[in-house]
Amino acid sequence: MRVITAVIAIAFGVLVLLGYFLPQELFPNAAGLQAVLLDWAVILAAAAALIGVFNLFSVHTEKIRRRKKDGIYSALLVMGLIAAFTLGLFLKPQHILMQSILLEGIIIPVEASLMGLLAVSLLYAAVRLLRRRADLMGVAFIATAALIFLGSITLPFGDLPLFGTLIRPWVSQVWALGGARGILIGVGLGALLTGLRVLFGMDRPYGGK
Amino acid sequence: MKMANTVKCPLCGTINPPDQKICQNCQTPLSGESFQPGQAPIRKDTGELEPILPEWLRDARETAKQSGMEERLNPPEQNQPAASPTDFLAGLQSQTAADDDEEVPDWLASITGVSKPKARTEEPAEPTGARWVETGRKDDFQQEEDTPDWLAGLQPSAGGAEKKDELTSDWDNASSPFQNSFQPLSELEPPFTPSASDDTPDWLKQMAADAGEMKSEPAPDATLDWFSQPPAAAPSAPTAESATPFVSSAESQAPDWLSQLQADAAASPGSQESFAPAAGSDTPDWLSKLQADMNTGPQEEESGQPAYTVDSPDWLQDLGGPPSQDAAPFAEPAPAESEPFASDGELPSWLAPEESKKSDSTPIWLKDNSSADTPAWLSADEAKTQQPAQEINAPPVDDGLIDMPDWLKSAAPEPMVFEQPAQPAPGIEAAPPLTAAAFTDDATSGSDDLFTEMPDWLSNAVETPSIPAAEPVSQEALASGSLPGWLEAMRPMEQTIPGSASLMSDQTLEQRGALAGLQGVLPAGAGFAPTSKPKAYSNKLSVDDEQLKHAGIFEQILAAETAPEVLSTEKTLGASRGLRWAISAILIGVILVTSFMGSQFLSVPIGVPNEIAFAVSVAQAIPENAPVLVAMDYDASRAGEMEAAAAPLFDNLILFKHPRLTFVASNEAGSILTERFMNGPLAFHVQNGVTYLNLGYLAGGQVGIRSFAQNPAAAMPVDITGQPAWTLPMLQDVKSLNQFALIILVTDDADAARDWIEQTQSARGVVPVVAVASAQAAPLIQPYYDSGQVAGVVSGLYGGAIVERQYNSGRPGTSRGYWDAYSIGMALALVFTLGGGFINWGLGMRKQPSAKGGK
Amino acid sequence: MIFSLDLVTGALSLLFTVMILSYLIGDNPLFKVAVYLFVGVASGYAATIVIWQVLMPKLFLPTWNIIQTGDYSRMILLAAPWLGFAFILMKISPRLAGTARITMAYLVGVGAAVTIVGALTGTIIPQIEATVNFFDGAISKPADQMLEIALSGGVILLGTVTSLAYFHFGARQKPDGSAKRAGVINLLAWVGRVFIGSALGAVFAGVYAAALTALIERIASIVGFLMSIFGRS
Repeated sequence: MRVITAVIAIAFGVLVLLGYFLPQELFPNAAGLQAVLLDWAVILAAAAALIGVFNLFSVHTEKIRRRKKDGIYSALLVMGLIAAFTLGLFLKPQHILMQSILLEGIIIPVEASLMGLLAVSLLYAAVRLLRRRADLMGVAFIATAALIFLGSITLPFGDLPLFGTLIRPWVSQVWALGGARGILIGVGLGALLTGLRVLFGMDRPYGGK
Repeated sequence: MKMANTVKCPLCGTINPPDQKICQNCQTPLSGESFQPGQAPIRKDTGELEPILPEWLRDARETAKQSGMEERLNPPEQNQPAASPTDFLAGLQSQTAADDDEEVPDWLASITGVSKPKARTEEPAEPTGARWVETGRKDDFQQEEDTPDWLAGLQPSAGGAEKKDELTSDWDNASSPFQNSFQPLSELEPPFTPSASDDTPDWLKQMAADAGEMKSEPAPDATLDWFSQPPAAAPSAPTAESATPFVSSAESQAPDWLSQLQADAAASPGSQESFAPAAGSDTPDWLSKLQADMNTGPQEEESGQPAYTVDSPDWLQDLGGPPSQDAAPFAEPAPAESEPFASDGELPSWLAPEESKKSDSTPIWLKDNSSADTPAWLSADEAKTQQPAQEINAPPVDDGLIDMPDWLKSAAPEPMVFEQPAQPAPGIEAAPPLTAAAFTDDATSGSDDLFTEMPDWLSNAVETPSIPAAEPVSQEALASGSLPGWLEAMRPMEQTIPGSASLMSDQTLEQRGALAGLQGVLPAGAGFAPTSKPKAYSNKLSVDDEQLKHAGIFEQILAAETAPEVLSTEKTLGASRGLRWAISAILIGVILVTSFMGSQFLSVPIGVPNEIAFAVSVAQAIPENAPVLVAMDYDASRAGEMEAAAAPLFDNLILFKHPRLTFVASNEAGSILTERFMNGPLAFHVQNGVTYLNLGYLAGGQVGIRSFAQNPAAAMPVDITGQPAWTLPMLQDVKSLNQFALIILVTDDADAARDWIEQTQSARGVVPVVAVASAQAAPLIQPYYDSGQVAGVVSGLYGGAIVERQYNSGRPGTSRGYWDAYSIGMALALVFTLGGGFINWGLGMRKQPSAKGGK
Repeated sequence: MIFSLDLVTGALSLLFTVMILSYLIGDNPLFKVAVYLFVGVASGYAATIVIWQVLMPKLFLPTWNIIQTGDYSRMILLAAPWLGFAFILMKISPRLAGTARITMAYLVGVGAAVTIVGALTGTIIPQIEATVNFFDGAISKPADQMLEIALSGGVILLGTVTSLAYFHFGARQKPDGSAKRAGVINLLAWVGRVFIGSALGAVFAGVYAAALTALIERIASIVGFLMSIFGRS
């Protein structure tokens, strides 16, 4: 199985790569083959997501069956999952009832509230940041954040002079841009190397090690 | 045989003849005047006899002094001991003085079973046995391995001596320390570098060399060097005709202790068979000579065919062998046939160099001796050498004593030859025959006399000046069974050997050998019995650089693992829960107040950043009713922010360009959030007939995006209602991605934005991309704006408020409704961040000096 | 009218918002109930979205159409997805879960190829080019603009290079076993720490802004709902 999976991953990866680089004039079917492979991947990714939901369901069902601690919450989860799935399966997701009850009534309030909690947590962390890390990077971190905070503040009659009109844009467009670009290139290089390792069979995240 | 008047041994009870001074059985002195254990020998100052030296001898000495003996004895490359060169034989004495710290040869130390560590009085006793082991001397534990087999039998047979401490067992394997101690010797004696065939003990070599070459300074530790010679490498020895000058003279002036050996040998005619195997090549020469003496006896002398083994040194061979006809005393320049070392070509190395320089290096006084001007005392001795060996056993005549120079006295076994009356020991003839059994563990009587009568220069190696001599040692007092003072001084003092008390408490009476009559001198237990104070050894391992490096890394790892982690207590700014509650209360309170009040007293931002201006301008630059692709990729959690940020731009776009909007979502909730977005902030347009196309969820992440970018119709064939999308008027004439007039990326995730930008890079062509991003994703989208991959960015509520105010006349007003709370919330963040940061930084600064003070 | 859908939606929204915000006091059952229920609902909702918006139009309906039309020649393009779907469905069974690796391997292989090309052509090359080309044409511009370009471009270039140097973790081992970066790299990395700290500070401010906006939206929603109720009553 290890060999089979590795061969599948490498072979189809190479085929998709060929679809990028082979000239359309010489290999007219390369792009088509790539499109088919990608389409299959989209379908299988959706199937994988569906299996993920089923795995969540089975896990919590098992917790209920074994009467584990917090089983009641698992029961709520399973109930909500079954209800939403059933409703969505019959009503379709874009149904007004689905949108109003599930999306507007549960999903958005919970997620947005969790984000609201994050605001409090971030403030709490910012207060203690220099306590934890009073080095150069920490100071740069706090200074940049403070400048953006300051530049985002407005007065009743307009922007905060200098900070809102000059410093904040410069910090976000120039000063922070250098570091962000370095991070992006670093991420790109990391992704490139990770993909190459997979195609060379050095990494097998699909299992088989 | 019992006689009427007999003497009973006080120890063993053996009945001895009345004239017997020592017990025949246990060799215990019967007269009660024995040399008591622990009694030190008397240091004899023979310098006072200097004036009585013969004229020729004094001249010779003066000549030697003037002829640069010092340079010869101390060549630049040699590390000779710093002995005074003025007296060319003072080296023996000076060496002993200088080598007080040197180790007593093990074969000497072990003769008593528990030899006394030298310089005991200067070294405090170690309190623990562990310390004793740490400071052990290498020789203490090397006896078993490094002592030749023939000497092993002389060592105590206690089982404990054969067992090695596990701490010291490695010392035997690590012979390098042992060898190192002898390394200087080899360096000191390049002329005497022993050949492969030379196994003569160095101390004997040195004696001979000194005598023959007039070297007054033997190499330090010369007495130990022969231990470093493996017994198996015993070379062939000179033949029977070999007669060193020294020995030749010594034969006539034979020390009593040597003469006594001959007497012993003569008295043991029947032991040759048993002794023969022991006289192999492994046997040192001088012992081989003893063996030969015993084996041959008078018969060998009569036949003139020496039966000695090749290992016997010449001077010893001559003791027992037939006197060479040509061997005149001190006759180095003698012809080859009389030169013992030239006869068989196996010259001992210590003599070989001298032979080549005999012509010019022979001291004058020796040259003189080789002539007919032999002094009377030597002539007399020379005459004596013609006598049978049995006659040597006669009471020696002390006629040579008066004329004997000091250097010769000091070179020879002093107490026996010069200081003591040369009287034969009464019990010598009655001594048990020297057989092979004598060299076994428990039968050493034959050789005991040899070892109990050590030369003075050897005895001087033991530091004994602090121990006063009781009285001059008499010949009787040195009889078998009583230890001489110098030997006794080497015996370890039991109170200085930790752990040896129990061993010493063994009061087993020794019945035979040199220890006969002594109690508790041999450890009877099975445990290890240290024979001397151990040397201090370095425990340094022999490691290379790689091992050192690895060890260093390992040590660092261990140090890092074992370093205690300082747990800093966080007492600043109160408890975490209280701080969190305070922040929550303030933040939520401000938002609640502003929301309830619907306050709009704070101005929205006036300044327009470039990315917002470009985003709006690009959106306004599309053709009328142009197809616009909108990628919706944000979670429900940021629906409020994204709607506030995107609504003004879309409102502006719909108002001015009436685009054909096609939405595609790359996350699950995106398609539904699209419906919420269009039916929320933009509901006015939808209600007014503005249509849009929602293609729904595009699965697969960047794979799905790439699939969509490559062939949108194939990737998303239908909309969320299930209708074929690409045949609808919304997507008329649109078959590929680059046929859209604008791509608007609405996302709260920088990774999702990156996926869209990357995967559509080649497919979209020149189609501009405008990003409406969450404030959290904007910093990482900014580089794409700077690189031109994104035409414009509207980020967060800040950007939405600007677009809403500057470009859309305040529509739809969502951003404006949130702005006061947002601005105050940012001010709170600034206050908390800077305030808390400064407080904590100040506390940290205050803590550092205290920490330094604590250190 | 009173029990309209908006009212239910508003009530649910208020309820769940309060339940979640109750976490500010501390972990409590209300918070857990809201979170567990949210996870269940969101998962079920996502499953239906996947089914209706992906699997249905791309797998189920085409297959049904083929079955209906009898044109099985097109079935070959759907055989592989069905096979992969079957494999991945076997993950449900612990005994056959290993078979799902085939599908996962396919997804990983295709995803790796797409990632390689996307990262190379979409991020690495364009970003490097942008860093280099920032100074293009600056020499022909007026002095003030040229100075601005030089300053901004220099800062961006410095930030990019030093940030990349910060992520360079190659080091030589010293004789004492410790590893240390080369001197130049170390200096650049030290400067890069400032730029990375600044970038992360900007991200932090953005995250806070997004969270604050979400909190504002939630509270404003609650206030609006309450005002609508009490205003009506």
